[in-house]
Amino acid sequence: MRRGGNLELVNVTKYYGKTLAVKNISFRVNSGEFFTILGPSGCGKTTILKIIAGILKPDSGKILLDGEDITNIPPYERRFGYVFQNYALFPHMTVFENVAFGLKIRKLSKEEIRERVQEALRMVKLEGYENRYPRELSGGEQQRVALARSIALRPPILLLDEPLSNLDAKLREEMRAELKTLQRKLGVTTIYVTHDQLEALSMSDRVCVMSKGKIEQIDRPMEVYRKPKNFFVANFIGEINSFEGKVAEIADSYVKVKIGDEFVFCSRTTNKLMSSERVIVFVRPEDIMVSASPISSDNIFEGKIVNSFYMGDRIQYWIRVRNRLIKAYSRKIFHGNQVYVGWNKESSYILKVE
Amino acid sequence: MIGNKRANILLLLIPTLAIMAFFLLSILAIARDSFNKFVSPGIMEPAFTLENYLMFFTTPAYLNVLYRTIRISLVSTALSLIIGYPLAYYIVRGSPLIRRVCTSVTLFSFLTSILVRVFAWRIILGRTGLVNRVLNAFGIPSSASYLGTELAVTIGLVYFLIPFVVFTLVGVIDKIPIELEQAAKTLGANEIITFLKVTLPLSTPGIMAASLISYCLGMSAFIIPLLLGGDQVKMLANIIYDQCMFVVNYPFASAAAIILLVISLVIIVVYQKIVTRGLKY
Repeated sequence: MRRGGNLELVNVTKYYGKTLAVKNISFRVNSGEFFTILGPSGCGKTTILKIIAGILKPDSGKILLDGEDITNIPPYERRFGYVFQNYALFPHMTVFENVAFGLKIRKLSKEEIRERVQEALRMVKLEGYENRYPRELSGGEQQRVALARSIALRPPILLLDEPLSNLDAKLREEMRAELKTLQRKLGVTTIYVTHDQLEALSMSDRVCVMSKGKIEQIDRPMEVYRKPKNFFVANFIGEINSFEGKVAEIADSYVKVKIGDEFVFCSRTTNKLMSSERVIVFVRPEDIMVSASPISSDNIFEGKIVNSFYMGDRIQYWIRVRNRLIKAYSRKIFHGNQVYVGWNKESSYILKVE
Repeated sequence: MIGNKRANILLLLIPTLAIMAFFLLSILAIARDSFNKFVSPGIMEPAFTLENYLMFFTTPAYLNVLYRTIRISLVSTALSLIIGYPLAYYIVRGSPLIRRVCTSVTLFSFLTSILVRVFAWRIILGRTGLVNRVLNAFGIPSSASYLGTELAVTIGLVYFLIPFVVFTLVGVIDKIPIELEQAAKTLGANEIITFLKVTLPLSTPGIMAASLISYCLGMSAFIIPLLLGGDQVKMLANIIYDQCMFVVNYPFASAAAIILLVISLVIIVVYQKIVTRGLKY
């Protein structure tokens, strides 16, 4: 099995008419890596994927595969595997013919085609489905056929465009695991596009967060979650409670930020901060403790529960502290709505205001 | 829907039946006349004779016209498909500029009166027409008129049929998701293979519909063979017209009309049977 290729994008820009789709996008994807491009709808992530596949031509910039410039090579010579969001299975062909499509074009022998198709179907756990038609398959099965069709060719790069978004939650979770396992086994360089940050965090080796045609941050999932570079990334990944404030005091072991009339203690960050500088402090709901009696912590506030949502494994609480709404989680059910919320200074993250 | 469903269906049934009756009754009337006996121009005797049909099928001249009508219809259908498909394809998939050009060309042609279009071809194909002038400009002496030939009628008919073909195909091709073509490309299919293996098979229903429409229009062509074919190239509709207007032999004209109707129907039914059997998607 051929190992995945290295892909590099250099300053890729694309306009749709007068509208900017992506600007000066550059990144490298290493051989065998699971690289996810994450962002909201319209941020340009699918555009990038199509440019990599060769379905779209960039207005400027280069695409390199293993160091070779492939910018002007048409998609049918790049032969990157591509799984579309709505699978794009050929409705007039059986599962076998769909998966064999690329192999037939390669002029492989009948025996080899049969072998490779069966191997691909085995990998996606669809043995026995050869003679069915796409319309006879469920969404999950269609998606696996689309996957089999792409990997049967053993491409150097595998591109996936939100492949799980049309599946229900349970199936999505199963497929996430299967995809990841399959990718590990094949070792194919994979570029995955999604707006679902849970998928991005759980499957990827690295995540590239995009917004409005630009890259915001490229990092490992844990770094993106714990050390977001700016407010957009912090807000897009996971949940946050964010507050604007001014730096009040910078000490050896902490930074104190004035938010409204209150003070919040944050841990020392590596950002160079100045006194009275405007900053954004954010705390993730899962780091906040909720209790009916006073807690001992770096940051403690009294508040009133204004809303609660039962989620099965825990309860989401919306608590009003002063005139701000804070989201937090707890396993406990509180009688009465007076509570204390608290978190330690390591859970307060500081971001500069842009 | 207003009111109760039953009342609505009954109300809609009335105009439907009226229209059906209008067509059916006229066809029945013609069929009845086709069994009458011809006495003299404008006069016929009620009868139940097959002599009109026999005359048609035993006279070589009329049989020739029948074969010619079928032949020209088939050729025109094929040519209008060959020209119309690319036009339709680029109206759906082309760049905005190409889309505009192709749509305009088709639309303007379609919206121009057929008489104007046919007369335009008379001018182009005539002795002093565009074709000859271009040939002469290149030093090729040519002064013959191209009118009065099957070629002229075919050209005129194809030109007439293309908009029908295009409009039918545009709807079908538009329904083919572009992702299918893109998927084929990522799997290694260049434009030609993508077209042959994906686009064409999926547009087969449209091709069937378009060819059926073209063929029917071709079979009943009247003005085009009249003005471009003259006396030399008559099609079945022209014969019916002649028999009605000049010979005033109603029974024979009626028989010819019924023959045209039946042959067209038979070919349509056979075509549909082949199509529905061969179409798995």
